[in-house]
Amino acid sequence: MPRRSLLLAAALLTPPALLWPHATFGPLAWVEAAAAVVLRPQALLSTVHAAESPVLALPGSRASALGDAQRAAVRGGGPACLQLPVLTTERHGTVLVLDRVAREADAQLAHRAVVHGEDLLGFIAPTCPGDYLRVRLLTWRSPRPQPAPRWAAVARSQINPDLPHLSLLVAAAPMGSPFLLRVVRAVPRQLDTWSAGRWPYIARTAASPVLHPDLPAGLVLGRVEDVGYRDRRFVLRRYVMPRWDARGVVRVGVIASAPASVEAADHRRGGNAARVVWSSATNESPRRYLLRGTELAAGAAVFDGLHCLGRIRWACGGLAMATPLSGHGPVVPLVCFDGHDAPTAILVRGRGRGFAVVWPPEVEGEPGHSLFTGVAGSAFPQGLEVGRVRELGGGRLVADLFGDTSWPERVTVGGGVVDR
Amino acid sequence: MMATALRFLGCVHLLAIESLLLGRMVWLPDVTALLVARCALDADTSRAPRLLILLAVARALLWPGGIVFHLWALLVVYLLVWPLRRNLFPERWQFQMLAGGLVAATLSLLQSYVLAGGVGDPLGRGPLGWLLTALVAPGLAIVLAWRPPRRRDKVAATEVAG
Repeated sequence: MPRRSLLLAAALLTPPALLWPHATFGPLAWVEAAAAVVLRPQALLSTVHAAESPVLALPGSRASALGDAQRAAVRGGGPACLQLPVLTTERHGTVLVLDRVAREADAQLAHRAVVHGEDLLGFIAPTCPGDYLRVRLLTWRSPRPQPAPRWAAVARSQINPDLPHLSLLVAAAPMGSPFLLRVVRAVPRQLDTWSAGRWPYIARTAASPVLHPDLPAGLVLGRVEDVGYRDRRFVLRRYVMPRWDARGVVRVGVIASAPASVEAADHRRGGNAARVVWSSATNESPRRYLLRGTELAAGAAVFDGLHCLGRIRWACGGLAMATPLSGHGPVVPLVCFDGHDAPTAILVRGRGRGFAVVWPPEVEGEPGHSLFTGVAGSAFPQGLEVGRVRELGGGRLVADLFGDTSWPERVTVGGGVVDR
Repeated sequence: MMATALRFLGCVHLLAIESLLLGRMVWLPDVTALLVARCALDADTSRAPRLLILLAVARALLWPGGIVFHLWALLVVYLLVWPLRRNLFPERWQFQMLAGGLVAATLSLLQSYVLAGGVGDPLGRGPLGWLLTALVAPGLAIVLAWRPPRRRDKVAATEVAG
């Protein structure tokens, strides 16, 4: 082949090679799978064993990692609060999908308030019988002809509650706003909420027989954020920033009258068993694992018991290559939880050795805090323990991950929302 | 076709053994670098693209990085060593060493800067490994260059001798 052709090929390959050096583009997964068969032909024979039911398929076992930890936090409705696990998010994180409940309970739960601890998350949307329950979060914007929902609230200083309070009317903020909720009306209009000794002001729901007759007062909407001229004490716009992040909430409470028929349906999401047929050199960071199993899909989680080990990079013909979460790939939602305070949702991207924090930029955490998987779409299970924080701050996360140790011979793949 | 399949089989297993040993010996010579250097110094350039593609597929399976990246990296180092064949004397062991060392160092640098973000070699190979690659290159070149004499050549040689 002439040198000119090779130069042209090198020039054409330069942009994808430098921009996406770790990517395996669609049809190339077949080529890698063929190479994997050449490397381990006997892996094809292990299908029978790999298709066994997963070790983890014990009812309720997987859902207990972060779920148990958050169970105590979900107490907003008191004894009448129905606790349900979150499966995934929809519509750019403005709708939460919950597990199904008994059919007769669907109508009873519509429009009920959904809480996480003291925080109001949103309201149950009317659903068809037998469908998943969906929660329209406070940030959900209704379609145009419908009037936007509004909530009456009272904001008080967290430092000194005796200071003058703000009466607010709050609604979802439009696209492009710096915060998720906007204040439609505030009384008094100009009130210093940002000075030392005052900030932060926390907005809580107020009783309103017209706007929301069934909503209990005192649920937290979020922290008041003002935009304006601080030196002149002039407020242009007021916003409210909720304390929760939809990607970090794995269990919610529904304030209901607790009818006896309302029980979470037995809906297993165990995943499929897979077998590790090859692993890369021990000093490679992160290591890579060749899996053999059925129903393997790119992006699915690999876990062992309650520990999330990694995710699948490419999958083809029953073979898949998986890397720990710290491997280069798409953004991973994690939840940092110390067991006491509200969990912090963070979005990270693997950098080979550690993670780069994508969002929020100023997040900080203490060494030893637990890391769990957040809500990351239907193929990725939430609430699995990932590891412990070693260093979190400055846009960087260094963690001791379960996936960085050697993987067991048999793992479970999937575990997201799977109808069976 | 059969020869290509066998060569692919050999590539995958050779690199798999290298990957296995790399976990224990960081000074292991870079087999890919040796093959690419040999390929670049070879007079017959028609076999080079096929070998580069096979190596890229095998490396994408066994090492970090996708097929596209590995093919690009191998092409870059192949083209880098090309002038040694054109302008110098590739049959001399000094140039074999130079080519082997150059390819190993360039591959390692490309991997370090693109795959690992500049934080060392993602495979954990040390500088001693590159040095050893350069030292092994001439010997391996001799082994690869050797081919068993064909029967027809033997007959011709006998006739000439007779």
